[in-house]
Amino acid sequence: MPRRTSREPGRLRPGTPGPLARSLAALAGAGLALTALTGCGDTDPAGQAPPRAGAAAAEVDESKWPKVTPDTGLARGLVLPLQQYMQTYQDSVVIERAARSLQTQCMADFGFTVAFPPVGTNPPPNADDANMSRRYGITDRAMAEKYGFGIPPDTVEHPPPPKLTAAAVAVLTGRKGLDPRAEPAPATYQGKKIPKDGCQGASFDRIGARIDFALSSRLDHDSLVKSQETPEVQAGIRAWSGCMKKKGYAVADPYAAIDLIPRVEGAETSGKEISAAVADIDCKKETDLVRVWHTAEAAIQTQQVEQNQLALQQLKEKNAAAVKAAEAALRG
Amino acid sequence: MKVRSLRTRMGATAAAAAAAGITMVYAATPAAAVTTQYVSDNCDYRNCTEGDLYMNYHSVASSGNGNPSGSFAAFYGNQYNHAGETISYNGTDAGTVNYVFVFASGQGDGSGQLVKNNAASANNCSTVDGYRVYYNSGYAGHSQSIPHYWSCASSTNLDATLKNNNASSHFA
Repeated sequence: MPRRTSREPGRLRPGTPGPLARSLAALAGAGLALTALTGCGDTDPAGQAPPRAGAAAAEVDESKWPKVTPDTGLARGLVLPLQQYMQTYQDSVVIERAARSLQTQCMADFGFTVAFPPVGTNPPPNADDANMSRRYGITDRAMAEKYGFGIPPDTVEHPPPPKLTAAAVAVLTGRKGLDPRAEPAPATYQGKKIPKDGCQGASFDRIGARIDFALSSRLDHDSLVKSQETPEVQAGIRAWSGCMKKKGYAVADPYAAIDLIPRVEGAETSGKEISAAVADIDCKKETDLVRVWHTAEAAIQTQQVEQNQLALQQLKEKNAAAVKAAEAALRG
Repeated sequence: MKVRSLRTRMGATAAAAAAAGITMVYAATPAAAVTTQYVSDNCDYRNCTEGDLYMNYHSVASSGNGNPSGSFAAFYGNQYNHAGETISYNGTDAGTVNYVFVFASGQGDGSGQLVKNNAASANNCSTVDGYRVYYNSGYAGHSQSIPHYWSCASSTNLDATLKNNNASSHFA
């Protein structure tokens, strides 16, 4: 059987915006309507017009970034105790911006010009691992009315990674390719020593960004599991399921609801899916499930925080230090 | 474009696919049926660039130190359901494919098995993108950040000690 080979660096697959696509994007920016530029791997369940190509620094719209605490829907205002020990999207953007700046410099020292795309053009649906707005399944009725169980599509095409030659990959990563089983690169490039894990590794080490968040992540996972073993949450889920049954849906819990209606990419979100999603939220409201579930979890997490206070506090401090170091690096 | 889609025995995989919640839709005439493809890399059918999230069958002794033994699957971008996805290329059954995600064949433990809720660790090999693995499909439930701060050649163990832990993933 053929072993999976390293990806050839520098050879981009079809779909990456080349010069033609960038010219078209400039025209799009000038207000001309364009039909389908091939999307770059993002699914678009709503079947809407594909996102514009060629994200630029001007496209970083922080108002579109996810909020740590939802400000709409049934999870509005809800916070869990472990969240203050997590890294937020906002933190990660500062760190990543600084890292790319350091990597650009480091690569230039080896004679490579690398053009990284701007950070923050395509924000994720959630700002931290707690994922409050979708933690107990969907909670936003306005989103459900448009997208069913899906999320809004990106408004801008996700930028591709920079084009890199084999030599550039070796210096950037310390490996001969961008796959987990790639061989280590030689120790030097043109007589100059490559840092451990390349310019990329060096930049994250310099910022102190290589933080292991396993503790807060694992505790956050465990509290969600334990909360479903409590009588109040079990009763709430049963009540929700009963409400859904009255509306014609046989579904045991809100996670199963997400897989209830078959989805087809390349087609518009079906009316069936939208109806089911709206029913899900209306039943959550009727049974007060989100508040009941959150209350049970908050109690569990309060205990977890008490039991792990020192280690969690150290994690929080490491994160704050990394963000601070990143800000300093950006100031030059 | 790599050709790496897998075909395993139809009977076993049809049952496995059904168990994974993939609806097999068949038209009245067999000639116009929806087809199923088993893939271990979503870039086999999407227009992808490099920089993938690897989902591994096994865990590692400690996160951040090397790769596990056994098989893996790779994802680029947002994946609503690690069971697979149905894409309709032209709105007809004949132009519709159910892609089912399985770990790569010939790679030891886990080869050919379904990816959903069956991975124990993950690697992020992107030069630019972070990823999050979600514990339910549709980007729901608890999520775990798999940043690209670590070397591509080092795996991060997923939070759940029992498998039953990965159902979707998204750029972070």
